[in-house]
Amino acid sequence: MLKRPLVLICLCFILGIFAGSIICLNFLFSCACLLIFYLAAIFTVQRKGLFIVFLSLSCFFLGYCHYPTEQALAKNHIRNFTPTKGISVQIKGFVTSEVIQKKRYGCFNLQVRELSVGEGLAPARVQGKIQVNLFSAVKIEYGQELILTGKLYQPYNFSSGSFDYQQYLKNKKIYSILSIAKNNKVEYTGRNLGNPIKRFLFKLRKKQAAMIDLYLSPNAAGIIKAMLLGERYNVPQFFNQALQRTGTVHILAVSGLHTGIIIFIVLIFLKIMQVPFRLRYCLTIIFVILYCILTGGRISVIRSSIMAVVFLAGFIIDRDYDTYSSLALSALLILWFMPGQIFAVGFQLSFASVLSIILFYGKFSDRLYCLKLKKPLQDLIAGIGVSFSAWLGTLGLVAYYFSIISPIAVIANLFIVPLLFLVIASGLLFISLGTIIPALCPVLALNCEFFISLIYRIANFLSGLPGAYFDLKQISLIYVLGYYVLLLAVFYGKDLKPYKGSGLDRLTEN
Amino acid sequence: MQDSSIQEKKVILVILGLLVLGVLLAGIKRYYPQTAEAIIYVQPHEISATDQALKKSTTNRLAVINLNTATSSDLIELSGIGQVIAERIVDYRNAYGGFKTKDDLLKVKGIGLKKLEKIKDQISLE
Repeated sequence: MLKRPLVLICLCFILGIFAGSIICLNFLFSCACLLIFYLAAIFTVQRKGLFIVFLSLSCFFLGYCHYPTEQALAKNHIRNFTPTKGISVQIKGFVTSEVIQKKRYGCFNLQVRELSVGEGLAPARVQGKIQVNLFSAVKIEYGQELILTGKLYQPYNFSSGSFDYQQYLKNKKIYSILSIAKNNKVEYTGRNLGNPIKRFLFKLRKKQAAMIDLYLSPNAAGIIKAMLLGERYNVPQFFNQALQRTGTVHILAVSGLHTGIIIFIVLIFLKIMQVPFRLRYCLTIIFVILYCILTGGRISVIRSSIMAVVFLAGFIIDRDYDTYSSLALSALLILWFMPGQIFAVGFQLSFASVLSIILFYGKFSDRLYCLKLKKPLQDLIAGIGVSFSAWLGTLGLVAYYFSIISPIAVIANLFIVPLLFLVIASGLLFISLGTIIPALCPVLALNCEFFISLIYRIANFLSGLPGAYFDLKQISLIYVLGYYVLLLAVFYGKDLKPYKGSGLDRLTEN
Repeated sequence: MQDSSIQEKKVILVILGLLVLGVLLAGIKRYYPQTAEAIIYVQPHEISATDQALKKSTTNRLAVINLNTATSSDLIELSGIGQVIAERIVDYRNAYGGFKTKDDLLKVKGIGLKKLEKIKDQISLE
């Protein structure tokens, strides 16, 4: 029997999505194939080889059929009423995201319900999500039902370079933008239709952001809000730049590293409070899910949260944890609801970094432990190994999407990631203890300032070294694919079978 | 259990350590404010020579707004550019396939020589 069925299902499902985006077969034909292979899998469940083949094919066609189904829009979807050039409309809907508020500009997502074009005409019932760009200082909150007047248009397709804005919004199921000028009407109907848990968490996030703004300098506040709350739009440009050049900009995105640090802190805290074992892990799971919602539910957070929940649940139900299966499960869950995410850079980078650590670091970690070095040296080499593996795995994608290569990233991560731990610990202390004992806030805030300053100094210094980073011209996707094929060949090409202990050999029993 | 209590002790030590560090930093800030300014806070003007050179160069794509790829919400970050002009810039780009030179901005209604001079260093074409 298959030892890791989820991995096989996930791979075939992803291939199906890719095929669905490139090859155009008759939908009924592909549904028929799906049913036939699924039934064949049922009838061959006792025969190992045939079962794997039919299972793979049915998952492939499942992905193939699911992708266009998910992309298909209803007849009354707002996209069908949105012209390319723009039209003045009045829209009724409710806010489905947190409102990003800058000086003269606000942005949020709106779930539309009614659309009126022209005066005197009855509104049409529509559905779908739009992005609203508001050029005034009106205060808007999650869940509010609003009546908005503005210009509705399709996102502009300025796909020079690798970033396609239209595709980026399409991956979030947004096909239209409503632009509201300063003097246009923004009316709140008095109803609030949002999820109460989300509303509570967003309010909590706002309070925490206000507390951070009160006690930290503007630069440090923007950085801490990105690291703890997922609000990246106030990170100072110079800080972002230093991190981009040293390949450490991932510390600004709430992801597995942040979730892992927070889980560790929460578990230890609950242990100190003498909370019983199973309850401790249950509470941590709830905390992880709430934290995922609080930070805006970005793909990297969702991925790490699912993996964390599976990891923690393993302790509760006394089952061994398998990294490959949990990674596959998180990919499947995300792609089932948002198959377009497979083409999103955030999804690709998030999974590539974890997968490369598992595949490449796993290859020499066994040999490392056989050397029986002293613990500090072993930990240092392990840290370099993890950093190098993640760098190798994301190098191709970063070069393709951002046209930059940062060889210094391996060293930079060794210094900056431990400091990130201190920043998050200080930030959590500041938010938690500071809420209970406000007199401690100024003292705790200084820790955050100091560690952030250290991160910047290190990143700035390292980015100034010769050969720290290279800006590239636009590279072709063929070179990126070739790079990954070469990488796998170097690590796994020597053996016909995958290196024993790497994990790939354990996909199926020998 | 021995391991658990050592772990708990380490955590308590870390929390105490952070509090001690915070008090020390508060003390430095109180009695040596200039030193505190240099050590504790992120200094945005600590720009390396490389960055300064790049900032003057028109191809610094990380620090400037790309006229051919920016959204209208990015464009209003430029000084003197509001929502109406930002949307006109995007409309011009869609109509004529993009900006070949920075001076092409003069063809957008609402942008004159003065405005162009103001934003020239904040924009790029690549």
